[in-house]
Amino acid sequence: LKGFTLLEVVLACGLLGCVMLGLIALFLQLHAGSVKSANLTAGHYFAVERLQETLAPSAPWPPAGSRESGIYTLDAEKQTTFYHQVSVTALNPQSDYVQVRVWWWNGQRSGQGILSTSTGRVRFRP
Amino acid sequence: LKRLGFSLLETLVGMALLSTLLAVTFGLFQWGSRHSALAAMRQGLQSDAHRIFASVDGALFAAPRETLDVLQRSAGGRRRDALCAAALSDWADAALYDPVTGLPLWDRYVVFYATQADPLGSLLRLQLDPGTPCAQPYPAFPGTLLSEAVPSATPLISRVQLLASERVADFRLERGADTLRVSLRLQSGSVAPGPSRRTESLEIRHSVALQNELR
Repeated sequence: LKGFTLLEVVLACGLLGCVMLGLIALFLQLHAGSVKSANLTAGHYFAVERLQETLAPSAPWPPAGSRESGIYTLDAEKQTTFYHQVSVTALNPQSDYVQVRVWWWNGQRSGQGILSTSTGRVRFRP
Repeated sequence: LKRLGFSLLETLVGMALLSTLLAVTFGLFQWGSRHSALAAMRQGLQSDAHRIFASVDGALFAAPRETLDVLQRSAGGRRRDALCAAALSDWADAALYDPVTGLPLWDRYVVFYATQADPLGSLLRLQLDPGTPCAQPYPAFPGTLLSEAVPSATPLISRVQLLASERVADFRLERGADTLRVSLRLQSGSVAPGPSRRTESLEIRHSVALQNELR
């Protein structure tokens, strides 16, 4: 009876291992993508909220410093911490560009790329 | 003598290898399918949140701020608030604008509220056509409007929309001087029963600028 040689068995195991590693990497990427998508959605709305509050006529000007907020974006038990910073750039004597940058951290960032988003608007000086 | 078949040792080694590979493969697919289900849940929660905020924003951006009424309610330590604001039934109908001032003649109210079911409520949008001008907060709000069951259409309630069904953990409304802060926490069911069960939650904090006035 002719069986497999050691080399054939090792090659077969190596091939199978490569396929497995590829699948694991694919699953990890999908997982990271869904985590980032959930955080990005909450982060975007958070940035819009901060911008609306900053530009409200009754809000203090220039805007106050940064603030952090814990928001439930994934697990019902654990919050993701969102931070924000408001920056004001003078465009001309009549107007400023107000930008809110939001970034977040929940203890994992592998494969998720940049964990921040920003939004902005022109504010005409009263 | 020519040898036929495998020896006991070869068979045992082969079976051990195969079972190890099978265990790894099944574990991997179980993990993958669990996370794929979690990702689908997250996607569902996000699309629900986008849909809800599109509806709330659409009503509040247009509503005159003097007609906005916010009711704060609690259910099991969680907030399930309600709001009511005036609206216009048809923005393209010239008869619904004052011929002198050009301002809208508000003729409708919209109500958003979360039911108080435990642990998760639903979010409903009601459209009220009282048949009288709506230039003030709805006098009979909330009255009997905020029912736990999805209400049927009546001569007063011309339309009922179920924006989220048994997914709302928290619906919080805080009125500021020029803005309305809306905080919505949606929650899905669990992926796996037993000790590994996991509940997905998505919290959105949003703020709507109240820009419109009656005059």
